[in-house]
Order: sequence, then structure tokens, then C-alpha cells
Amino acid sequence: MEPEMDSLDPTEQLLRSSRETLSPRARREHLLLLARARAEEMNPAADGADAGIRQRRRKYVVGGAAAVAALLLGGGVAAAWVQSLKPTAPAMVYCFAVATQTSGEDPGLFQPVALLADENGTMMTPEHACANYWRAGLLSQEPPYVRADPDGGAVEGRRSVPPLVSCVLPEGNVGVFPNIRCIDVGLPDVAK
Amino acid sequence: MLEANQGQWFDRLYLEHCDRIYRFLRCRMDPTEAEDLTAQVFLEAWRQRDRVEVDPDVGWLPWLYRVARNMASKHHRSGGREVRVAEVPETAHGDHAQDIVDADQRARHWVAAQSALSRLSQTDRDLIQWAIVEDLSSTQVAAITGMNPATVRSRLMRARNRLRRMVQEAEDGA
Repeated sequence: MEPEMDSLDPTEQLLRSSRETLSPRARREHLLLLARARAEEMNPAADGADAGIRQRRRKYVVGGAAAVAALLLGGGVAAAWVQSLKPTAPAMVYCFAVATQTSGEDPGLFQPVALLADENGTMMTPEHACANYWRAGLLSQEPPYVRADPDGGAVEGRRSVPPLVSCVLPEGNVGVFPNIRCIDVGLPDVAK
Repeated sequence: MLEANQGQWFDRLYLEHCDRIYRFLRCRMDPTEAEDLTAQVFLEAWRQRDRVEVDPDVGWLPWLYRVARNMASKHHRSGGREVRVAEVPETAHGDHAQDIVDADQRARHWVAAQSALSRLSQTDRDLIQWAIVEDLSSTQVAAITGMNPATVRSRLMRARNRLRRMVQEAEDGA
């Protein structure tokens, strides 16, 4: 830093120490939005990212209410409905490093990933998209869980990929979890 | 760059700079609007990624700040509410009685500082935000503002002196 910045007076120290940060919720929404924008470039039919900002709060309320209702209802009809749902944003997924009750609230535990098409124009599956991140060592079941690497994952060697399963998150997006069944975390499977 | 690598590079760019851009916008508008515009700044970065010429010495941050500043100006021109005095930040918890005394002193100092900041020019406030709060170098601030680094340093010194004097006057008058 510049020599003249070395000593801060009490007011300046207060200003620096009081720096606000974005909430985990806002970060999560932004990462979703930005992943969706990337996916939209590959698949123009996906929801527009700008519209996502305007509509996000309403979507969360509606999606959250539906999920809570599903969890509260119980019984055969509700269970059949909960077992499989169509996600609302199929062009991107959240790849989770671990599956816990609170994992969806911690942006350090998942990586939003756009679903891209291969050279034949076929969209990759959510499990395939997340498997690439596991294989490159960008996701692990031990801390730091998620590594954002600008060089595309310069981790030595290829890592093993745990069994992955796609579930529909309360907001309607797809979450891909390791080593569980969707029902273990109270989420519906993605309808095939 | 491959698409998948671009995505990872972009997530890294976001995670590295999102708080700084949010704070810059938060000084000018309420938290919800600042959150939304922060996302818009990064969306613009993604859309312009192949057209922006980034100076490797200072990276993307100056460009992000310039876009944020333009978006904030547009936001206010279109009727968005301008906020100049932020809320008093929370203090750490420990000894409850001492916390109350500390919190009271901190709150008064905070109000004095925010009051003084609100009376500085926008340029002086920005210089203090970038150089003092965000700890950016004069080269980085110069890249944001278009001034040369020597001018940044001299204007910053004057802004800091003004801020110090105004805070002292506010505390003496309280």
C-alpha cells in the first residue's frame, strides 16, 4: 500500500472496520443469476437473466411455499407429487459438495454451473456437469469444499466422482448432491 | 478460453470483487437497490468480457467501479432514492455494560464520520472510499478516475484533512 496509507486515524479505522459485505442470500442469488446468464448464451430459451432480478423475490416466495406445503402434507398423494418435479431453470444447476440441512444457505458449499451443449448440440445432464467439477478437484467433501479456479482447475490428477443425484431445490432449481437420495434431505427427485 | 473455464474465471471475478462493488453502491442507495445493481454490474462484465481491454496491472476492478458509478448515476436520474448516511454498524459482543459504553461512543463517532462524509464532495467521498475503506493503491484509484496517481495522492490528502477537521468539529459541537 502507499506509504501515506500506513497510518489511519480513528475515523478512518472505523470506516475500514465497518465494511459491509453482501449477504449469503444475495451472493447465492447473484451466482444463480450469473450462471443463468451464461447458460442463456448457450440456450436462448432459458429464462432471461434481467427478468430473473426483477422476479426473484416473488419466485422464492412461491417456490418456498410450494416446498413447505409439500413437506407438510405427507401421505400417498403428496409423496407421489414430491417424488418428482420439473425444475424451473433447467439450463443451470447447483453442484453441492456436501448434503446437509443447511448446505443450501451457505454459498461456500455449492457451485452454480451452467449446463452446456456438447459439440453435437446435446445438453449435458446435471450429474454430468457436476461430475466435471468433482473430477477436476473443484468440489470435495472436505474443506474448503468449493474451489473457484480461474485456470479451469489446475489440480494434479483426476479425482474420483462420488455417486451423484439431482433433486429439485425449494426455489425450483436443480441441486446435485453426493452420496444421498433426494428424500434424505426432504427434496423431490428431478422428473426424468 | 473454453466456456467452462470462462465460467470458473467469472465466478472467481465475482467472488473477489462483489463486496467492494456492493459497498460502493451501498453508499449511494438502499441495500436492496445496491444488491440488484451489483448483480447488474457483473452481468455487464460477463456480456462485455471479450470487448473490455483490461490493464493487467490493475485488473478488472477499475472497469467494474466505472460501470457501477455509471449505473448509480443512471439510477438516481431515473428517480432512485439517494442515501448518504449509512446505518451505524454493529459492535462485537462481550462485557455487556462495557459494550453499551463502547457502542454509544462508536455510534456517536460513526454519526460524526457519516455527517462529515456527507458534506464532502462526491469526488472526495469516492477517493476516501477507494483509498481508505477499500485500501486500493493510488494507481488503482487513478485507473478508476482517470486522474494520474500523483493527483490522486494530493487530492486524497486534502480530502482526508477535510474529513478529519469536519469530524472534529462535529464531535466538539455534540
